[in-house]
Amino acid sequence: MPSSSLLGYCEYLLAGAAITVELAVSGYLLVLIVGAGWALMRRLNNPVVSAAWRVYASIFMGVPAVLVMFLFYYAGSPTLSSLLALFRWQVRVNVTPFGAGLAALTVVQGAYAAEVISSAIRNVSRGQFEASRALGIRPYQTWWYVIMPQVARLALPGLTNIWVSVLKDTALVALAGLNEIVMRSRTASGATNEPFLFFMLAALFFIVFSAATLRGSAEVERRLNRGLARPDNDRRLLAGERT
Amino acid sequence: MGKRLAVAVLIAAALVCGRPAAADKLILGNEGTYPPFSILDPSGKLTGFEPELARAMCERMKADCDIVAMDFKALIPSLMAGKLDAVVSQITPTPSRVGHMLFTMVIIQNDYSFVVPADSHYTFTKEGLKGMRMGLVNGGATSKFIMDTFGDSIVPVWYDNMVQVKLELLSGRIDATFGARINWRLDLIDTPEGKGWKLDDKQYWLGDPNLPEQERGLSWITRLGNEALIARMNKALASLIEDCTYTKIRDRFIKFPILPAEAHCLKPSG
Amino acid sequence: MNFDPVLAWHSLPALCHGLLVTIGLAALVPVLGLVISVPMALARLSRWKALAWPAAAYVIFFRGTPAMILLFFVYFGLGQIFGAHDGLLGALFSNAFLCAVIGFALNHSSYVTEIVRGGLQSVPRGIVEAASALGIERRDVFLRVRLPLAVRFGLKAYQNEVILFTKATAVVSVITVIDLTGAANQVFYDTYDPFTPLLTAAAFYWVLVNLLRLGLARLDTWLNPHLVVDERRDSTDEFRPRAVPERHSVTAHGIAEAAE
Repeated sequence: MPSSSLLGYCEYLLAGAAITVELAVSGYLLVLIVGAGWALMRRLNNPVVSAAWRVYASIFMGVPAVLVMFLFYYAGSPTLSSLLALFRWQVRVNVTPFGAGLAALTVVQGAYAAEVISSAIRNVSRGQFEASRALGIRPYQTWWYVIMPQVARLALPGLTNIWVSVLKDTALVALAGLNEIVMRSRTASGATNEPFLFFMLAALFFIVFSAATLRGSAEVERRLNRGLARPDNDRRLLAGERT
Repeated sequence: MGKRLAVAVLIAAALVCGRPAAADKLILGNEGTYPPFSILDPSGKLTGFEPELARAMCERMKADCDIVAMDFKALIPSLMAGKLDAVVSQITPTPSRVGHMLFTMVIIQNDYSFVVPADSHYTFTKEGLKGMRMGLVNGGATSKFIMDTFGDSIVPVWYDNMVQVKLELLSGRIDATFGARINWRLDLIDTPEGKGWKLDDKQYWLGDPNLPEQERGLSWITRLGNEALIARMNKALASLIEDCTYTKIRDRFIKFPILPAEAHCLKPSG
Repeated sequence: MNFDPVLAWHSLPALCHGLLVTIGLAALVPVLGLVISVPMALARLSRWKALAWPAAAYVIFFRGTPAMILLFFVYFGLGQIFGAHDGLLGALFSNAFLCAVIGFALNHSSYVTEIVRGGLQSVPRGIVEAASALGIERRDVFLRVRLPLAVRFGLKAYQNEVILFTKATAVVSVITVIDLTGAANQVFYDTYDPFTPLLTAAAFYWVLVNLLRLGLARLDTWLNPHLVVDERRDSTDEFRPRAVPERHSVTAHGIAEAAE
């Protein structure tokens, strides 16, 4: 196999990696929004919201993400078109594989993110809310400056895991026709008869990328933990780590 | 701040998910991996006989066409879901399909046969094929025929395109397959790696059995009710065949004629 | 998009065949996973670098890679090398279902290894020390003191992993194994109706996942009767804060530690 062709396919793979990253990043941002949205709504203690959450969680945590994606991809266009037609907006909506994958990832991983964030909010001590109110800090400011930073710290491990899941679940969108890195590794390995090379490359991409982001998240965790009295801190300071 | 974020998200979602259809823009679907009729080269460019013919057709039609590649199994469902205006991969007009979509004029004649080991002598009956592992392509007319006729005696193994079937055939994971003669001839049998394989002589036509042989063949399709588009496509295709552009394109990929209507373009040999 | 009950009814046999394949995978792979994970977790915790490092590499590689790539790797890669041979290896790798089992087992076992490791690490040191102070042999300390307690600590994480794995089997049709999703897709390609078979398959998965969840919850109460919590406050309970790492809440340090 001429090495120029192998190199060509490696570039092909790299282009696929870019698509994967694009999908993963946009997916994760939407996941955070959806997760935070549900978590905040659940705090309202509204029976309608609770019931809606239970149905939503039960469905999207009980059905594989691939199926959700297939349903969005094939059944999504006509459904969206008729929905929009209700608002008298005659638009032919074409759900692309990217769009269907994005929607499916958002909806499914958003449910898990909502759980993580909810649990983090619950674990912020009551005292924080009460002290804020006692000091006359308005609710919006309380949430933004006092509570959410603490929620971020508590939710970080769970949200990091969800990021890794989102990254790896982008491979599922290949089944709807998105030509991302996993599908490209299969095409390249078939065309060049070098399965090990291209599958290893694709695997290494995921491992290296998630290791890099995990290192980034460890750094974020370090910053969020600043000033916190933790049993570990003394040992770390003595070992020379900066807080 | 929250409102701006919401608007940004909505715009992002709309950009990603929705696209209003322009009046004269056509989205055509092609299989992408059906050599020599469709090939995806390493740079991602879609080429092969059918995409090139489709581009020529669009030029004649004065339409702005986008040719999208997807697995064969996704082509017809995407057409019916409105994601495609037409499918420009050859479709067999089987009885089960004829009522559900509109077919253009016949543009390719490509019968089907069994691809079997060169030294084998199978009888193609349920008993003769018992236990045989057959490679089948999801969504194909060939697969439906095989499953309907031999379904309970063979062991079907499902793939997404012909190239996958070929690789698995060569690696021994399946015993045989059933597919288009032109494709298998050019992509396997006549190549060095196809030494151990042969195309069985019996040729199958999976469309209407009452059609005379000259009129049998494969076409492109659009959704039911889209007679205007079919008429435009037929007009453009007829003119391409008439002035031999069809033959010129065909000759780049296949060195022998594949349509009776080409006859007037063929140079006498010698 | 309309749901066609007649088509749903007619496609039930095909879907049930697919469901059997899914259940087969969901049953075989966790068993294989446990067999691999317990020794692998012990290797991870071992003082000998010769054991700890390869085990860490195993976890990093197979946990960081999407299951689909592993399936391709086993089926197309290893299958091509060994499939043509006669004998056991040939029979193994030319069978798509077994390739799927191997591929999934590699992925699943790497997660379970981390769960087992976390469980073992959560056992209070004091109990282990007390056990050896009482003169109990090391092997018995492990089998009768550490392991049962580790199981109790890691059980919720393990249950989550099994459920997530069951849903992850849905991609197996890429290597020609027709599971429930694959069967639903085939009905779709045949009839051009995506909604009915996919929705029916989704319902099947939902029932399967909830049966699994209930069964595992029963197992949980049987093993931990003293820990039964009032669940009314929080019914979708996959994320109680816990000491043990699991697929969705392994700390960032989990990977950093693995790299050491």
